[in-house]
Amino acid sequence: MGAFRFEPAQLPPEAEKLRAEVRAFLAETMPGIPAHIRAGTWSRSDEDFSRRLAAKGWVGMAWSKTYGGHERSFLERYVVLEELLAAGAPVGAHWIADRQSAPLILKFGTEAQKQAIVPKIAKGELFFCIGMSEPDSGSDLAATRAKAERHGEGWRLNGTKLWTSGAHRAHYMIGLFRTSTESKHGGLTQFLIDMKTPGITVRPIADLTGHKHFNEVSFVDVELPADAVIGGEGQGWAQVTAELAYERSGPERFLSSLRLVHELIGRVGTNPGAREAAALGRLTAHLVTLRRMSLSVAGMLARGEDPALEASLVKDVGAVFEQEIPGIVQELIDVEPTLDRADDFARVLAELTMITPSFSLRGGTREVLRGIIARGLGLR
Amino acid sequence: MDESRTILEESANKLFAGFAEPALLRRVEAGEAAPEVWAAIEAMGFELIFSGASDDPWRDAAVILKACGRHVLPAPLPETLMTAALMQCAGLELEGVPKPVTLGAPAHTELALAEGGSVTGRTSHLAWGHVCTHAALPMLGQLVLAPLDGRSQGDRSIGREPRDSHVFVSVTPVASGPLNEQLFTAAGALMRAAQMAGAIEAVLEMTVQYARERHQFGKPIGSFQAIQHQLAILAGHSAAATRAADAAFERIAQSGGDADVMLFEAAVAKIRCGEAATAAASIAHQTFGAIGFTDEHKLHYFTRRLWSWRSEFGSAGWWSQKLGRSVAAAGNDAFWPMVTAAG
Repeated sequence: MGAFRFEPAQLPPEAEKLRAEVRAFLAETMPGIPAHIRAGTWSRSDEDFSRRLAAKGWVGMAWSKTYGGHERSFLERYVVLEELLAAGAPVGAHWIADRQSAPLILKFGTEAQKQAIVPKIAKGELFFCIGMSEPDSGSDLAATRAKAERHGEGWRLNGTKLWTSGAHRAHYMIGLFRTSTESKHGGLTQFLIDMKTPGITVRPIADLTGHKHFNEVSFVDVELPADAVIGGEGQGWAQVTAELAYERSGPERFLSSLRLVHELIGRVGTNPGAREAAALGRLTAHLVTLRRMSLSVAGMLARGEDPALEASLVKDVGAVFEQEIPGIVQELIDVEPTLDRADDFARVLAELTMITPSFSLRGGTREVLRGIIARGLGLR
Repeated sequence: MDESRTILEESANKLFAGFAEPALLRRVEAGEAAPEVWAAIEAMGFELIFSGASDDPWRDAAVILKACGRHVLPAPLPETLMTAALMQCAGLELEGVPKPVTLGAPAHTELALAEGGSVTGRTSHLAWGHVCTHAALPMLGQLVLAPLDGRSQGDRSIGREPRDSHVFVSVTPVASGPLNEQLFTAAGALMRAAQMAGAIEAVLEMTVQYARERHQFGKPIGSFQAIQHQLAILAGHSAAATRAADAAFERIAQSGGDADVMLFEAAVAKIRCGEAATAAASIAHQTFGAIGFTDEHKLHYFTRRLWSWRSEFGSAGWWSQKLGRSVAAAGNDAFWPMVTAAG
């Protein structure tokens, strides 16, 4: 009947058992982490924390044991992710490799690439970054100009990638480069790039909070071997599109401001006034519903379906939700946001107030997502 | 969705689509009876879902209620179904009671016990009261099923659906059983939420279709980004409303009709669907322009009902306060576990 459908997804009993294990682990490990760091959750990196998660078997959960994975279900993985995010765990170091780089290599990579790379990701030893955006190619990803030319047996890369989160820590990048100018979408190829390769320069860019997590990465005559190509030459656009369905529907797309909801509940107390109660009830209804939509998409991914449109809807509705929370809380509670006082409420409000603009930019801007939804409705 | 429910959905939509004609809707809104609508419903047995006709009545009811909303069905089938659901919660059967029947809201009902077990008092805002045989009403922690004698006084909602007042003088209930009175509001809210979800789906479809057909500045208005993005927002609200309504009925089914689950799910669904209704009506009217604001056009049969249903059995704001108080009372450590336990 409609262009999209969100079927119910029931978490299996083993997923709920796993939830208890994750909560016990977090109850031990999280108390030492300051509130404003917890507010940042997956945009905060702690390599040691990532390795501890890997040791628990919570990185590479759904991958084949052949490549160091744990062969748990997609929905079990979902439960671990949402618990980590809800607690505000600093999971940024391994997040990208776990969410999309390794799945991409497993889907499109060569046997040698899978064996060399994926088991180390599962151990929390290799971290990844994504080389997509460029100075003149943001939302218009197909306008990618950074180029890869054949050079001897291999390739030579030149150009600049921008807004590359975690490039300063990452061991590898999966980068999208132009290998042909004859076709806009068909001339793109993905490469597996060792970040230690000569000719790569990573320049950190501070965001408006002063925190340095994203970067400009320049490539000057960077030489790669022939087997650095992931998937097919000219297949980059199709591969990136598949990758984005994983990137857009997860619980990180609506839980980014959850710490502030926790702080709000603590601040309004057990007997709130009408305004505070109404705001809290409304946020609860939105959160419960978004989680159900996101779980529904996880169920579709687990069944091997293609939920590109549903994933875009979750991310768009989710970003509106997580983005409006600091404004709502600020109107209700008369406390000035600051990172300079030992007041968890003021710190979390400060951190989230400042980082919310990124929620509707990262992983596809609001405008790009609404374009995808409009196409799904038959308007484009 | 399982196959039998898909068939149920298709047959309900097919039947109800035939009644979604402005000529019929206009007649019923003007107060004329349309007995053929109820006769057709009874021929299909849709009113018996909670009376043994379904082995999964809550999930089947969700399908029927959304179809009622999708086609703005001019008959009290939603009210009959939710009355039967409440009767079941009170350990009662609706079998043998002629239908349609309806249910009253605690906020608009004052009943007292009179001599010999009879009841005296009044109720108002009673949906479709004058065409129903009985009303399920709250009284002193009981559900009483009181006969309506056809002398209901007629008000109408802005959906121009009957919302009647009825006075009871020493009336003997045909059935009664213990029931938390909050469940009347919850059942009504669940019913209106599912109807809103269905109506919003219909509004999305008709608005997208219009945007593809209507030309201005030499091209379809749906080719303009300004329109595309508004319709994308509407699609997001529709997706959320439908998931909220469906999930509510799924979870109530899983819990076997648990009262706490009903109250929580009614709150979530009414809040989310109510907010979606506001956005959907606004975006649809803006897209349709002046023609959508005319009596002649069918859009208002949907939007007037959305505006009416979002207020009935507790507005989004009323439910938000209620849900927010329970969240606050439980404290912040209980918040996330509550969200995940909701499934």
